[in-house]
Amino acid sequence: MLYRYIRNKVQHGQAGSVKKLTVTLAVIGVILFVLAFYGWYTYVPVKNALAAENAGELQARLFTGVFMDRSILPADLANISGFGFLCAMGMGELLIGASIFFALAVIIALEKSLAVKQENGSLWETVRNTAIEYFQQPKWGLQLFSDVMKIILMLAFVFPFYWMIITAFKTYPESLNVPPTMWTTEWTMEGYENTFFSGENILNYFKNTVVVTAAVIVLQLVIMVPAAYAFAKREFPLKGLLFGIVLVAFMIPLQLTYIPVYLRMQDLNLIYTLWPQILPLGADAFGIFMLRQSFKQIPDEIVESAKLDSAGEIQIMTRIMLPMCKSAMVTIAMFSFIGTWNAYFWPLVMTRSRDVQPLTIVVEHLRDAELGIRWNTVMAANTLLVLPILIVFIFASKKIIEGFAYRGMK
Amino acid sequence: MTTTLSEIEKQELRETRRIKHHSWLTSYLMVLPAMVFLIAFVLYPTAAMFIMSLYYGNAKNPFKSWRGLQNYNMRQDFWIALRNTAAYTGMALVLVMILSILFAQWMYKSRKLNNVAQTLFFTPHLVAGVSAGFIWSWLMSSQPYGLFNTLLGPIYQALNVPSIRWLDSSDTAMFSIVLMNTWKSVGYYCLIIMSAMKSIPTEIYESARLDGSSAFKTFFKITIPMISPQLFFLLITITTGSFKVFDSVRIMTNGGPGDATRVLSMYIYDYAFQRNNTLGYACAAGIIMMLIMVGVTIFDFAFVEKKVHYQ
Repeated sequence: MLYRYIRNKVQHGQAGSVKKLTVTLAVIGVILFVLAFYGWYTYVPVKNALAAENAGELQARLFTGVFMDRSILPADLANISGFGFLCAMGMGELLIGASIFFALAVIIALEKSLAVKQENGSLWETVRNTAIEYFQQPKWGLQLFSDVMKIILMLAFVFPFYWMIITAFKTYPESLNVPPTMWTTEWTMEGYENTFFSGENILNYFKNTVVVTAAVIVLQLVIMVPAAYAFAKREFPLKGLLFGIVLVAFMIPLQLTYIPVYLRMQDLNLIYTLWPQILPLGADAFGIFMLRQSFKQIPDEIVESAKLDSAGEIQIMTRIMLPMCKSAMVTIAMFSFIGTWNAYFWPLVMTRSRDVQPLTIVVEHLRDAELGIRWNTVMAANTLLVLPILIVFIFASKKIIEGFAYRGMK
Repeated sequence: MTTTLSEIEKQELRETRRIKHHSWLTSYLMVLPAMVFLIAFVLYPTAAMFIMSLYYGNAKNPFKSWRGLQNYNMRQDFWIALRNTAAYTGMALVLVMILSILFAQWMYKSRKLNNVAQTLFFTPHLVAGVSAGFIWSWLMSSQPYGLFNTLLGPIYQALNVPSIRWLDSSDTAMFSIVLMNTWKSVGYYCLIIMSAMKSIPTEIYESARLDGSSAFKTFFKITIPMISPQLFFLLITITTGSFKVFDSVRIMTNGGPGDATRVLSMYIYDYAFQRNNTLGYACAAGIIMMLIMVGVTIFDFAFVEKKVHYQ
């Protein structure tokens, strides 16, 4: 029925409404997931506190009592949020709800893409037809062998991610099991609890990463777009020399210039702020180069006719250039997002206090925190670091792959 | 009397001049911020680094006393670091180049499965070097719970050899790091080669087939020459990238065991911030590293590029 409904909509030119539906479902899923996370985040300290005390009676009254009467909690937890508890009580339901909404969104998106391609039959029928076609091709045996090998290789490539996620859900003793267990026998949030409540304020590190990444993206676009435009479309004296500076800067890696930059930041008393992680990345020579290429592809006539209509420089930039170079700019923003989010070397040399360090460094702290590495904790922190990138990749894989391929061709 | 322009023609001329004319000031204002940033954070530091490399000092006071070129008299351990970096670069070049060409040849044709495979192979490239390093040092653990050694256990037994100690042995540590970085980057390089392979005109293959050329010969006589610009790009990117390697090494071995994986960028970092009064020496090592990198790039452009076939 769902399939009929979607096909109808698409055939009547209402594919947009189907897309809206998908997005809405996904957003609801995200909201439910965030609420569940909030519930968990409220619940864990309470659970830990109660486990430490003589908790028998309190444990029983926990869920019914706390929501209305928080005085039964230890003093340092008394001002915990009631809404958080509501979420904690419904954590399971929220998670199930979130997965249902996500699954619906995925199914509808798949059905829609089939409908748009004008393929007949539902998802299942398409799968069956593909299988039939597969075994009708000549030399299907050889092909099958090659494909099976390919699938094995693919699984081997993603296996490390699986291992990371599954280790994060193991208990510490199970993570050291000999031989290692491929699946976990006992799901636990122990790794995540250690990550969030081990004394390191991980939300602060997370905030640092987000702030630095966003700031770098904005700064880079603001600085690089006008420069690239001027290099591509305008004539001025010394243009060659200035562009030569860009090319020279392109050859010099950050790994070499950090010592003087660090010393200067120290002199300016900026080393205990986020600035040293943001400012030096403001102008990326490669980005200027790439943006210039895409500005160049815009024909001069368009700019000239705009000037004939007495458009000012700013209007030309904002009304013509930027919309036409949207895809190049998105690519640039994406590169700086990935690069800054994953940056390890630069924050390592540019920070001296834990208040300003990003997530990549806290993962290292968690390794060093205790005697012996608690692999489930390290992997839980790692998951938090990797997941945002993977989620972005799932939604924009085509775009990202195109961007990287383009970078390689130039 | 000479011909004068009519009012209309004058008007037109002014108009064209206005359109063609670019105000210099506006242009400079547009370029200025980028130039300031590039000079302040790339060019100035490079120059400052060279000057500091002539002094004896530390992070508090980089110019304690003049040392001149004495800092460029490299210590014994510098050569170890250089050798390690070269070994890493060599292994990465061979492994990544061969694997990415093989994978690309295997799956460049546009099919659903190939597209999925490309996406999956590419995924590790997006992940932080820190995360990749942690995951792989967990997989490669030489403790009994290490997954790789568990999986390889039957093979060790059959061959009656001791198990590989991956990151814990100075013989295999560097190779293990190369292996991890190959997993991380092969998808990206494969992608570049694949898009080059896709752009080779099918007529060439068609005529080769008609001439009765074997698949093997076609690959070496047609495919490889046609993708040589991309192979050249790979050569440069992998070499310079390998010279800068830091994240994964620091996470996986931190230079150990012994000095077996101490690479140049790590060596410079140690001397710059972790030891006393060796800032100038670290800068000198950095300048040498940069000269090597620039030298390799120039060498590649001067000698290898001539052999590259551009369409």
